Amino acid sequence: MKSSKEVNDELLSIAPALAKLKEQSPQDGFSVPPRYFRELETSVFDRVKPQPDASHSVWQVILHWIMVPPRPVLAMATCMLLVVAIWQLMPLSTEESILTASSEEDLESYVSSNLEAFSPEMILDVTQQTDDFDWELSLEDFSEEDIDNLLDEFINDISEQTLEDIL
Amino acid sequence: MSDEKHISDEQLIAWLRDKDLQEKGFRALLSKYQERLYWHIRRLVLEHEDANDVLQDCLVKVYRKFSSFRGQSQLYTWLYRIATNEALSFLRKQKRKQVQSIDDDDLHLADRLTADPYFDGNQAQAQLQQALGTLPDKQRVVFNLRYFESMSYQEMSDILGTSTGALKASYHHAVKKIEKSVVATTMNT
Repeated sequence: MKSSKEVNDELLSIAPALAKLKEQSPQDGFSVPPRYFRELETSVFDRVKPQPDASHSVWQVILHWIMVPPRPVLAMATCMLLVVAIWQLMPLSTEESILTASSEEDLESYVSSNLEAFSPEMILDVTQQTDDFDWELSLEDFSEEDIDNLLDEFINDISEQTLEDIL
Repeated sequence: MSDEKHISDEQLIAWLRDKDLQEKGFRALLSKYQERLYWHIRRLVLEHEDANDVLQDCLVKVYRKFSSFRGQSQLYTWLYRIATNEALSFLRKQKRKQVQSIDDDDLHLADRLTADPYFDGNQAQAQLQQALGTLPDKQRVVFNLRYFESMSYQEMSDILGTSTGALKASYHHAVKKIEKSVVATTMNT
C-alpha cells in the first residue's frame, strides 16, 4: 500500500481545506455493534456450510426422535400417560354411573336400588326433564288411605302455633 | 485468531485450494480480511445493516467461487474487486427502488446518517459523508480507496480494472468537488 504521507501530500497540494479536515478527523465516523467481527465468522460459516438434503432430513429427524427423543417430548408423553392412567383408575360418581348405564331398564333398577343416594331435588330435576312424565295429578290418582296418611304426616310435621293459626 | 492475521496470502491460498484444509483457510482469510472489506463496503453503502448483508454475500461468494481465483492478481485485490462489485450492485438495486429527486436523496442521506446508531462521527465527518453522497458511485469508490485507505493508483487499477491515469483524474476531480462542498457547508454554518 502507498504510504499515507504521500497520499496526504497529494491531498494538500490539490485541496488544502480538505487536507486540513482530514488532519482533524482522519476517521470516517462509522462504528459497528460490539463483538460484530467475532460473530461475523459464525454467521458466514452458517451460510457456506452445505445444507442437508430435505428428503433425507425428514427421515433423519423422525429416526432421531424415535432413537433419542428430546426431553420436552418425553415429558409430554409421561404427562399424557399419567392423565390416561388417572382417568382409567378413578371410580365413577353416582351421576356418571347413571349416565353410563346401558339401557333404561338398567337405569330404573339402579335408581330403585340406590334411592337413598339421590336427593329429592335431584329426582325432581330429572323427572321435570323427562318429557313423558305426567305432572297433572288429580285426587283420583290416590286412594283414601294414601290421602289420610299424607294428611297425618302433614299434621305431624306442622307446628302447634301454625295449627292454631289455621284453626 | 490474531496469528491468523499474519498468515501470508500464499499460505491462505494453499489452504483454500486443499479440500481438507479449505475451512481452516477460509477462517484465516476471514480473520485477516473481514474488517478491511467491511469498512470498504460500509463507506459505500453507509448503513451497518446494509454493509453486513453485502459483506456476507461477498464472503459467501469468495468461499464458493474460490476455484475461479487463478492467482494472476493478488488475493486482496481479488477480494476487493468482489466486495466493490457487490456494493455497487447493492447501490444500483437500492436506487432502482427509490423514486426520489436528487435533493430528496441528499436529504435522505443526511437523515440516514443521523438516524444510524452506528454513526458517531462529528459534524465535519457528517459533512464529508454528505458531500460524498453527491459523487457518482464509482468516483466515490476511487475517493474512498485513496482518501481513507491510502491505496496506490496501481492497486486501485488492479481492483477496478481502470487505468492509473483515469483513476488519478477521477480522484482529483472528486477531491475538488468535495472540498468545494465542505467549504460551502462550513461557511453556511
